[in-house]
Amino acid sequence: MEDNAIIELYFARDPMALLETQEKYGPYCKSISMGILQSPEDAQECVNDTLLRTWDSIPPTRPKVFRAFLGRITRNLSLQRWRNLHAQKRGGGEVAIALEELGECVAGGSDPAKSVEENALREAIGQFLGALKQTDREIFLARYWYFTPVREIAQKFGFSEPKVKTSLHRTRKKLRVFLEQEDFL
Amino acid sequence: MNTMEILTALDGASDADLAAVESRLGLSKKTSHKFGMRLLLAAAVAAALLIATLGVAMAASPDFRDAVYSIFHIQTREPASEAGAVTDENVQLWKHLELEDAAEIDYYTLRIPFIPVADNTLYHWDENGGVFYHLTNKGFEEIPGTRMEFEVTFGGATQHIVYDWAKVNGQYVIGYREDPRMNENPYGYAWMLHQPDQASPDVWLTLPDWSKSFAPCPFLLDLETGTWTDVLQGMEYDRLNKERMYSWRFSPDGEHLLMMDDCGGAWLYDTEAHTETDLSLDNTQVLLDAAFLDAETLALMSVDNQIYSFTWFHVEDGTMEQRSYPSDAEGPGLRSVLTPVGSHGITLNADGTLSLTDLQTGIGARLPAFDRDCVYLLNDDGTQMLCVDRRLSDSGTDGLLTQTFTGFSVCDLENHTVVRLDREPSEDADEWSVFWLDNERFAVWAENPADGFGDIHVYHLHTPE
Repeated sequence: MEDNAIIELYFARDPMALLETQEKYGPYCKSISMGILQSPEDAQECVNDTLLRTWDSIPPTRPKVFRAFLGRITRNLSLQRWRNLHAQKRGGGEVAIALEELGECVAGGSDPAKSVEENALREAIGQFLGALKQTDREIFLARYWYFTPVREIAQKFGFSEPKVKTSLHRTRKKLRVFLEQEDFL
Repeated sequence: MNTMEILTALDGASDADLAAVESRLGLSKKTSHKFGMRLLLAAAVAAALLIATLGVAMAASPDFRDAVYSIFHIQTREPASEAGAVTDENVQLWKHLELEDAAEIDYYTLRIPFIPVADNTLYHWDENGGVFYHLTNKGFEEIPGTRMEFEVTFGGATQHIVYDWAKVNGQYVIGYREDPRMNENPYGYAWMLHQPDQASPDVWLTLPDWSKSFAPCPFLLDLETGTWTDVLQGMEYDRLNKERMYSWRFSPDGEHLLMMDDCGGAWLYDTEAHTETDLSLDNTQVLLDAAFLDAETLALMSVDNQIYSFTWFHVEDGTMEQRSYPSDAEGPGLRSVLTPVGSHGITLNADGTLSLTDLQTGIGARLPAFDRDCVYLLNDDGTQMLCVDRRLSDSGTDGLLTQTFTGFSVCDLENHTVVRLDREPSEDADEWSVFWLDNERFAVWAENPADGFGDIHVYHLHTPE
């Protein structure tokens, strides 16, 4: 079923919307969640939560790109779950590694306990990403949006691992400078 | 601000960017697994450069003292893609260059990820079936692969084997992607296919043993039928332990296998007689590499205090020959070793010249002098030596290296001519490898800075009449 037709089901409050969404995007959402949680059971719960969150959001929201809309919800729910599961732990999984890597961007520059305004940071990050070279942007998103291991990024993009690592390192350095200039640090 | 906030704020990424990344990662189609593609390098990629010192009096040869040199300077940087003859939507020929009577160069841009899997063949993995691209005199020819898929239960794990094969000009070519379970293996072992003889459908499948040491264990596999057999059944792997790394070498006829560990251990298995010969070295020797030069001759290379030793073991009668060469760090000696190990090396002579040396006989053929960092590649019939000058750069970041080839010297060992091709690759180029495609053509596999996919530059040498 076309995305617009599925969205119309949401607007019509037809429960078939959830079934159609699950059939078309269930595996996609689960793959995003698995990349973060590494647990099929937790990932499936996040997919279920995604459907509920989507039902609550549409209407009034009318997503322009339904796939991306679902992916974002799944990712955020999965990150929240990961944070809850690992509140007292250190290490383990690609999310933990990604957090360590991104630590370069904030180390020594801010109080980790101090929260920033989410929307402002989101908009700023969007600007930062837009200014990157396409390849560097895609590598950065593959690593920190989809939590893809470096080796897999290298293989999927057809690059060497050192090249991927260099790109990520450079981008993290640029991000730090950007965050400092924008007074987030 | 904390790092989790950064992760969350990546919501600011545009839908178009996410779609592009998903396409690269293969998430565009429904999938619950992530796969990788293993980088397979053909056996003819750049030889390992080993610097050793050993003093040996080389037989002087006048071969290249009066060599005829032809020098070509490719003045323009390889330009960005421009309109040209389209060979295929996935492999585009965008430039053809002719260098008088010496060589022709074809520049190809690859629009999807490829890896070289054989001398003249590239491979592209796809979930629905891999595709091979074979280089002919008229460009790349697309050859669909036959997909084989089955499960093997061994060593406490069920391993999913998927590969593509095709037959090109009587030779079998194989392509496959990396086993995703490799990331779970503490040593990074994955199932692998080994092909000692491209003319045969019999290959070797090594499977990691998850129940013991994770070490790879070999099985004979028929490419066309997917049937596999444990030809070493009955032999014990008692020596496998989790503290060591293991690798295998396979004879072209499949009758002998060599297992090596990283502590000098080496064991030769006879798959028909079901016997084992211990070829382990003494404690002072460090085993570096081994190769079957043919079905009857196994060469081993070791080092002890800058003295490089080669042992040639004849499997039929169990006899051995040995010869040692000092490193050239402080005088005449062995500069580098060509593949297969134990066949030829580059040696520095007392008068400062270089020789291509038959390591078994010690007899050398003079070469022009090249820099220490030069990489040497001998073509299959031993008639031409490709000497590659390269420039390494650390890009000023983490010390990670990029490589560019600044010149090729092709030495015709029969006619004593040298064709020198000076190049000016772009500053941000990263050239992954150079290798012979056949006895008259070599290729450079490089990154295309525009999109990150590969470029293949094919150099076709003109042989003198």
